[in-house]
Parts: sequence; C-alpha cells; structure tokens
Amino acid sequence: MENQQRNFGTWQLTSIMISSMIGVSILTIPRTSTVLLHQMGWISPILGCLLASLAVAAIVYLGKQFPGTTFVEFMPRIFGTVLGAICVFLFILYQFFNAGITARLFGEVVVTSVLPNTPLEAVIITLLLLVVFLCCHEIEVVARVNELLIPFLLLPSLLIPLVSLMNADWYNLLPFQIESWTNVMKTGLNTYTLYTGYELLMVYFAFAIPGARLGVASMTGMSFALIVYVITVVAGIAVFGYEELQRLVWPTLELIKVTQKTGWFLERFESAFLAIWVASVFTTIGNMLYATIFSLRRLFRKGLRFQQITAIVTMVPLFFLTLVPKNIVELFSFTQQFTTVGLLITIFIPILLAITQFIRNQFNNVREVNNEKGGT
Amino acid sequence: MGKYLRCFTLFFICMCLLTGCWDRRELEERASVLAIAIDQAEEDENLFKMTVQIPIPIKIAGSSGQGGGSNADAVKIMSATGRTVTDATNNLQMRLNQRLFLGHTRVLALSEEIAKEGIHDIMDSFRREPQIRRLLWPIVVKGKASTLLEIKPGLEQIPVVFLMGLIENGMKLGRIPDQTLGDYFNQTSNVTMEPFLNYVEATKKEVSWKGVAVFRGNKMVGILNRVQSWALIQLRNEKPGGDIVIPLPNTKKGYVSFRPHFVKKKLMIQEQGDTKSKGSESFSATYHCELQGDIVELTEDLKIPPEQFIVQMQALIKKEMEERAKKLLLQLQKQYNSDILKLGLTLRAKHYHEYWKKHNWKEDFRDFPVRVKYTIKLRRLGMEMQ
Repeated sequence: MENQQRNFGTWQLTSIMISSMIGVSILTIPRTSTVLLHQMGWISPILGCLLASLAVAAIVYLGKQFPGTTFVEFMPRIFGTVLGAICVFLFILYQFFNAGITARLFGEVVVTSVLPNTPLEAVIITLLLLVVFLCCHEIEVVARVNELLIPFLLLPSLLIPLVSLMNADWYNLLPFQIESWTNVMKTGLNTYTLYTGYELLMVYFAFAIPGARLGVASMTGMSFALIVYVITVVAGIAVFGYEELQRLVWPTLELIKVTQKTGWFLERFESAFLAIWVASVFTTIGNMLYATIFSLRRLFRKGLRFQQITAIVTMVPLFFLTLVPKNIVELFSFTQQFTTVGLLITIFIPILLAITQFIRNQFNNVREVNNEKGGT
Repeated sequence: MGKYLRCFTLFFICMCLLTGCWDRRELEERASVLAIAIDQAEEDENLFKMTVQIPIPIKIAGSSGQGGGSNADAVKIMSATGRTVTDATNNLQMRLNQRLFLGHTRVLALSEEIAKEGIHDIMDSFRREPQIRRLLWPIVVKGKASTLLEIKPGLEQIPVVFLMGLIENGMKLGRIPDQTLGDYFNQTSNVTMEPFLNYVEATKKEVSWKGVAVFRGNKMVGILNRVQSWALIQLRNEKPGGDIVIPLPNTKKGYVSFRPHFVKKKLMIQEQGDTKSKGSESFSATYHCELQGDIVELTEDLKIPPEQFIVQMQALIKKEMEERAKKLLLQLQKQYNSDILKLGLTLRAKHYHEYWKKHNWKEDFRDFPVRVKYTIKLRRLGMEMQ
C-alpha cells in the first residue's frame, strides 16, 4: 500500500487546504460571529483559528510520523485495532454528514437568493453529479482541480470585503472591549467550524512528495483562511453594524449587494461572486467526499473500480440526507448540533492521536537507549 | 457498439443538463418596475394603495420618427390596493400580462401620511424580497406618493429616470444626502441612531427636493427644511450642502452668497468632572466644522478694504452657520428627539463605560449638550477682485 505515487507539491497541499476550508460558512460568518460578541465579533475567527491550529499541528506531526499513510492506516496503528477502527468509522461518517450539510446549505443559498423557482433537488443533484465525476478519478485529479480553482477563490474572497470597506463606518467596530469571557469561549468553539476541512489533510498528506513542507503548507492555508474570515467579519460589522447583521440570513451576500460604486467595474457583482462561490463550494464538497470514498477504498484495500462504484452508490443516501432538514430554521439548528460532534472528531481525535504517538515515541526512545546501554 | 452507447449517453446527459436556467425569464417577458409608490387607499384606511411605474420599451427614445410624440406614453402607471404590500402586488399582477419584476426598482416613494403612521409593516416585505436592492432610494413625498410617479418632467421620457438624475446629481454636488434603503435598514436596527429619508414635493410637472424627513424608530416625526438639511449633511456626512445666502447687515437689499467647497468636521466629546451633579460626570459634545469656499455673489459694494472684507465676511458666515446649526439641533433634540447625527454611535464607541451604559440614549439625546463651532475659510472671491 505504501508504494503509491506521492506527487502532491506544497502549493497543491495548500490549495487543497484553503479550498476545503472556505466554503459555505463564509456567507454566514459575519452573523454567527457577532451573535454574542457584538462589535467584537472579529475576535471569534481568530479564536477559532487558534483552536483549529492545535489540531492542524497535531495532523502535521502525524503526517510526518507516518509518511505515505492516510488516517485509515495510522489510526489503528496508534490506537489499536478496535479503537482505531471506531475512530476511522467516526471520521468517515463525519465527512459524509458534513458534505451533506454543506450541499444543503449551498442549495438553500442558491434557491433563496438567485433561483427561487428552481427546485432545491435540482441544484443539489447537479452539484453531486459533478462530485461523483470527480470521485471517479485518481487522487492526483483532486490536487489538480484544487490548484486550478484556487486563484478564482483567492482573489475575490479578499477583494470583495476590502472593496466593501469603502462604505464602512468604523465607529461600528468600537468600543474595543469584551463583555463576558464565557461568550468569547462559546463563540470561539462555534466558529472553529469555519476551518473544518483541515482534517482532510489526514488523507491528502499521505500523497505529499517526500520532502514537501507540510508545516508550511498548513500554516499558509490557515493564515490565509484566517485573513479572509477576519476581513469579512470586519467588513460586515463596519458596513452593517452588528444589530443589522443579526437580521440577515446571508450577510456576506448582502455585503456584495451593497458594494457598488458608480464608475467601478463592480456593479451587480453578486452574480459573479456566486459563480465563483459555486466553484469554491464544489471544491469543499468534492474534497470531503473524495476523502470519504477514498478512505473507504483504502479501508477495504480495493482499486479504482471499487471507488467509482462506491461514489455512485453513496450519492444516493447522501442526496436523501441533504433533504432531511425540513426548513431553513431546522437546517441551522442541525448545523449547530453538528458543530459539537465535529469538535470531538476534528479536534480531539487528531490531538489525542498525536499525543499518544508522541508518548509512544518517547517510550520507544527510552527503551532503545536502555537497550543500547544494555548492549554495551 | 460501446462507442455508440457512450455517444448516446453523452448526448442524453447534455440534453438533460444543458437546457439552461430554470428561472430564465427573458427581458421582454418581464414587467420591470422602476418605481413603487405606497399610499393609503382613499376609500379604506386599512388598505394600502400601491402604484408602480413600468416603462414601455418600444416607446422609449431612439425609436426615431416619433419625435415630438407625447412623453406620457413612455411609461405605464398602474395602481392597486391591498391589505399589505404583497397583497397589493398580487392584485396588480392579476392585471398584468407579464410577471412583475422588482429587480430594477430604483425609487420607493412613501406618502408622508403613511410614514407618520410608521412603515415597519411596509418595509418587512422589502427586507425579505431578494430581488429588492438595498441601494434603491426610499423617498418621502409630501401629500400623495403616487404624484411622484405621475410627474411629466419633459426633460426625460421616464419620470423616474429624471428623479434619479435629480438625486444622483444632488448627491454629487453634496446637496442631497445619499440615503439608500440599506442605510435606512441599518439605521433602524442600530440602537445608537435614528433614520432619515429624503423628502420631496411633486407637482404635475415637477419634483423638488425639500429637505429630509426625520424618523424616530419607524415613524416619521417631522421634516427639516433645506437649510437645516444642509447643516445636517455638513455635520454628518462632511458634504458641503448648498450655497449660503445671507443678507448683508446695514444695507437695504444687499446679499452675499458663499459657496462651500470642502467640509471638515471633527466631533469632540468633552468630559467634565462636574461636582454639582453629585459626582456623575457630565458629557458634552462639540462639533468643530471647517468650511472652505468662495464668495460667489455680492449684491452691494461694501466699500471697505479687502483685508477687512474677508474678515468681516468670515465672521458673518460663521455667525449664520452657527445659528443654522443651533436651530437644527433644537429641532432634532427638543422637537423630534431623534439622533440622526450619528452622535450616539460616537458616544458608544468612545465612552462606552462612562456614558453609554448608564444612559438610555433614546431618551437622553434630548438633553445632551451639543455645541457647534464653525470655522470659515474664505479662499476666493470669484473672478472679481472684491
């Protein structure tokens, strides 16, 4: 198994990471981060980033310890067969559900804002078909797709909030002070979901070129996502004020709608933004589902044909899963509950894995030293 | 065989997927609404009357050979009544051959009567409708709102285009505040400030900007006339406002006109440890406003040396502007009790603990001491030496 081709460069890994992280949540983040923190909402993406960085550091450590293996192989090796298998199972299930929720959120945005008469099913099916198509290929294709789409994602996600700052009222961001630290912690725990997608590196790191700098790739990815999120929240607060943000379902979309300067090329920019955003959601869901299906393939030690069939088969339950929330309120409460589960899977498991591995290494070292001593 | 099957499958998939957009509606299949006016229905107080202006593409300029034709035909004006805005829209739709499309709406006219009763219920549907753009201009109209759509300006074929030009140009000159629907929404949600909207009066042929309508919450409480509105936009938006015409003292019919070009505003909030009111600090705000501009008209020669003239004029203008600002503040604080100056926002931002948390701004704005100090910098006298 470990003699697979390993050809993901550092930049490819970075782009996989960025495009898996930036997805639907960018549309709601100005609202979710200001619910409790009000004008200080921009702190929450920073907190979320700190929290997620712990897990990312753990994943990088694991990636270096087990070069060329995905979590499917190294989880049982660290935790033992039974516990490891449970973790692998949880992880795959999480990715599956996360992709489902993301697809549904995507559908909701498109239907409410642009295509009110299009059935939600049609939007989701088109997206899933594309993903199936991606899943029918080998893993290098994922890297190439991400690398190709990353410029389309990078530029507008930075440009739009910056341009919208032109009609900002900076006093909306003041006073600079925190009312209650519990709220800060709560929001921090909630907003770390912005960064979910980094856990996919447990799969994609396995294909890094020997010598690719995993740490650099993940750091660049994290900091880019951090910058984008912070700027978006700052722009949201400065333009709308936190009170108004609470009333908007998709604040970032509204932000783009009001970003219009006569004489600029940016008039009616929201359709262009949505087109770009579709690509970014596609990469998010694509990366997630590819990781799911690919890890299934690794789990059963099968070939590409197995992967293709699994992709097609899993899309059916996934599609019905996306239609489970009955309305948008239920959807948001599902997302909220899912965040808590995600905390366990994407933060605690990687950290625990890394700690266990670290301790084990220490033990082994001690033993080796002892052995050496005994030998001499 | 396999190849044919593959081709066929590809063809089939293309047939299914490449049919185009589900929500596709061609331009000519839409009745694009350019402006909406909302009034109270004459026959029943509980009903709204909604008037829309729909341009008729064929009749609009460029269609040569029709020169001199009546402009009135370029748009269709229709109105319908309903219990809510959506109800009225539905009633209107039933009388149209095409689907109403609100995505191009640029002006939302509200009658003064309705604005005074509160427009919370009206605005809700505009908040929800994704077609509605936050950049459209809501305007309060004196009398009936529908009169604004029925004007025949003559200069433009479509009345709303004329109106838009009027506002846009006023904005560029810095005389009309740029108050969009989005601004209105933000200001109503924000606890530190109150909204305002532009206020116009329309007659059969004309429309003219009269000032701004001051709101408190979602209810209109009064208007500021042009002169006061200009003082407002100087203090609030740092826009110059219109020319200032002042009667010259000690003359019969002498006037001087000052045209401000650049405005700089600085809001200072002073904190005095006032011992009289038992330790609670008393706050006061001072607006320092600097106007730079030229004299554009002087109808009577004062026969004084130029150096003295400049000094005298600066003092005169300063006095006039400070009086105007005083009157503005008096109206806003005592009469309307509505902070459209965004003073509360600054207070919250800078003195959160000491002031904001201890006071209820909605009520305390009334008694907050505010002063305005103008600095006039008279730069040029036009093409005349004096």
